[in-house]
Amino acid sequence: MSTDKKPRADSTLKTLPSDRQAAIAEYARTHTLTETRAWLKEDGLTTSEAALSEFLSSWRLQQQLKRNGSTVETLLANLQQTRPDWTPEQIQQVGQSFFTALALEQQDPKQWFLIQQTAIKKDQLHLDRQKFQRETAELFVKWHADKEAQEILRSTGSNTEKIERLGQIMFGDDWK
Amino acid sequence: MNPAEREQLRLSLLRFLADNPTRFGFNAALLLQMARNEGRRALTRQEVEDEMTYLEDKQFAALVNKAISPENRVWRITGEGRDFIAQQTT
Repeated sequence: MSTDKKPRADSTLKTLPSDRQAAIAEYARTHTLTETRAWLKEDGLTTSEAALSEFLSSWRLQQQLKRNGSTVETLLANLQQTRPDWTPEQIQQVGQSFFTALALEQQDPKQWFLIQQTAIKKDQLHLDRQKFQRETAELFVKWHADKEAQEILRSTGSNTEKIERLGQIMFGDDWK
Repeated sequence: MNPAEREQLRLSLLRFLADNPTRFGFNAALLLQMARNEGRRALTRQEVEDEMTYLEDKQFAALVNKAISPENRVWRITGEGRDFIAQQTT
């Protein structure tokens, strides 16, 4: 039996240099998962939507924890100056409590829900735009040879008037 | 939780620990919230504690030493845990 196993797609992303990972996360911030996958593919990197989603979750969590850790280390440095009698263990204990409280606040379910909903809406807008573009192209194919439509286009009215008349013949009662 | 769900929870918990770049550990409350944010809305703290005990037994996670209130457990990932995560395959 073969022992060859396919490596996880997200482990491929995680093994990229950190600046490349940061670039992917930055791109994904303003693009959908589908767009990000296509962008990666142009660069020769194939990954699944699930793997990309997991990579981005992991990346964002790491960045958030780094910021939390940094905040706590700064607090501890100040604490050590004001409490020189405290042992390293006491300082570490306080740091651990601060860090946990801060990280827990960042993982607040309402915040997380909003982030997820924004990502879902962004993907939905992309799908809606794709659907609109396809339907527009399909309507053009269907109507470009229509005699009545051609007469309207050749008429002397303004563009606004032509659009109004075309809309009425194409969509009937559904127009506006 | 069925066995498949338990397995996924264990992997998620280990992944959370692996993603921690700081010198501080995670307690059960934080791990619970992270796991719930992945959709496990009915997950309980006890279930998280039980699976963390499992991961400790497997030596993939270790308790962070605490002089005060050691009963409030805090975990970090071990080298074995990191190696396991890195070797995860489909």
